[in-house]
Amino acid sequence: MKKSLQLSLSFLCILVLCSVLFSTNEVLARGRGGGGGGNRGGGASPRVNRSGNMQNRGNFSNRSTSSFDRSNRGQLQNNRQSVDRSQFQNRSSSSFDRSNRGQFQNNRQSVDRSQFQNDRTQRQDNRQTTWQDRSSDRTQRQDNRQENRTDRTNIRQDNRTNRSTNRQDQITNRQNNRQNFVNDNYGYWRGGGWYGGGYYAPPGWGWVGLTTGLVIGSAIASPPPYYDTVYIGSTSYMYSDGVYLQPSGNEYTIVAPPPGAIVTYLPDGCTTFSSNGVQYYDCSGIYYQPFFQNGSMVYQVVQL
Amino acid sequence: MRYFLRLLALASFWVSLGLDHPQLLAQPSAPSPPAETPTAPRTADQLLDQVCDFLKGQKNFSVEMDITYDDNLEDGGKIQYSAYQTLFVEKPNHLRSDYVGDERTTNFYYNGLTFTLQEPNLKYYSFKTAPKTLDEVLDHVEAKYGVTIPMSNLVASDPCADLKANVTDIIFAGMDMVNREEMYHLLLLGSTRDYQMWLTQDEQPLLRKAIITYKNLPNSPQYTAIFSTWNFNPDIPVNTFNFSPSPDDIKIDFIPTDKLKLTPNN
Repeated sequence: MKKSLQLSLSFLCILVLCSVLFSTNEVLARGRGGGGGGNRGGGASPRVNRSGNMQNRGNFSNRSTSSFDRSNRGQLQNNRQSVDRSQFQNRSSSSFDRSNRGQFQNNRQSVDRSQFQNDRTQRQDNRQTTWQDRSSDRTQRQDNRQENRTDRTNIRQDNRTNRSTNRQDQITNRQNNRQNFVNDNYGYWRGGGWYGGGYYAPPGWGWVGLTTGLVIGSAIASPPPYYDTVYIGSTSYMYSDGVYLQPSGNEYTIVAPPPGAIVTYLPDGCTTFSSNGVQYYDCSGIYYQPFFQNGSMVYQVVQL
Repeated sequence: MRYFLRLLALASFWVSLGLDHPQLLAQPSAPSPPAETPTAPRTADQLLDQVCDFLKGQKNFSVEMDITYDDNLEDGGKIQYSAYQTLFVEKPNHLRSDYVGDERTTNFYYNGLTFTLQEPNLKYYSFKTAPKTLDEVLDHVEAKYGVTIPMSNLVASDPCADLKANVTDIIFAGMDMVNREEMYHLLLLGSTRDYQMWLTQDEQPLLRKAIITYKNLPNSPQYTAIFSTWNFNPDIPVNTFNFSPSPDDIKIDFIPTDKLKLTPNN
């Protein structure tokens, strides 16, 4: 009995030790740029598609381009001066306006007064007719306005109903699309990195490409819900959670990680190792070297 | 009658002057403290000068700032990120920036001889020899390595030189609040960016909040910094400006900006 108790206790100790060691390794791996999001600014996987990067802003001027700014500023001043001067020149042409005005006054004086009297009578008649016309027009306009108001109310109600229906359709469509994406790509994106809590070991790409032999070159129907665009020369790649893709036709083909590609975060589960005094990450056979670029951590695909 | 005409002419002159220079019309709403206090601000320009001159004269200081900035999403949405930063400055050649943000955590050390960039969570660092002054090193690290220290204009020998060179008009926006406290609120119009500044109403006004609007970028994103804990007589610990790596720290390299591949968008 005593012996079996000792055995049980030993087994329990080993179990606890193993679990502690395992979890420590994972934390270390993730802490080293694993992208688990636990470390502030440690390169957590972005879940949105951004079109800009403002983190390196926040100064009154771009210091390194201030000389360029200053030269442009000189140009601005020159432009402003030329504009002001031309306006001033236009302003000086007012003497020409004044002389024209004198001519206009002379013409006005030469108008025939009798003609003016006739015109006035005619204008009074016209005014009377116009007033009657205007009155009937006003009634007509009021009718039209009332009809328009009723029409607009009906249209608004229809639109509201349509929008509500459309919105519901869109929500349903989006939900269906999302589900389709998960269904379509379940074999590739194990763990639901894009919809779940992120990958745990092993990382997405390595698992897809190497461990299971799921082929580079296979295609998925929809783009990843979020991705960064990385460039090697003029060739662009979509990068998402450790996976590289390129659009081909209506599909997105998984491609081999291009050496030299620089990404801002790594998939979860990568491990670190050193070679010749340089630290690398092993993401299931895909190797990355860490660097500082533009004041932040980045990771470059390398071949060893 | 002649007297009336003279008065009318004088009034017309002042009205036309106000139309040509709308900021002069705006000035009456600006605070106009008694004339016997020579340091009291009288106009928006003078208020700005007072703050800039004061900062220019400070050799040592520390300040904390809470930062938010906008970023555009590809689908047209706008998102906001946050950070906070502490600066320790000893002009002309010592700087320490501790920056903790949504997108990165980095410490920057400059001791007059070298500068170091450290990622404290991942325990990476890199250092290079540096120019001899803060003005030079800030230009150097941005141009060569793309490293920017937010609001680093404040640590330059002339903190407002670049700002004033870029600004075409200064407008007093009113007495507006920052964290429940009423401040002088200035709007500075520039060619590519507009600036807003909130200055305390103390005898010596201090910068409490700044917003930079990048009006030439899509959706005109803004960069906001709220300043706190200004200390112009800081007790800065020894080695604040020197980075000493621990055995766990790992040295990595910078990718210089001239090694960056140009993208088709560039």
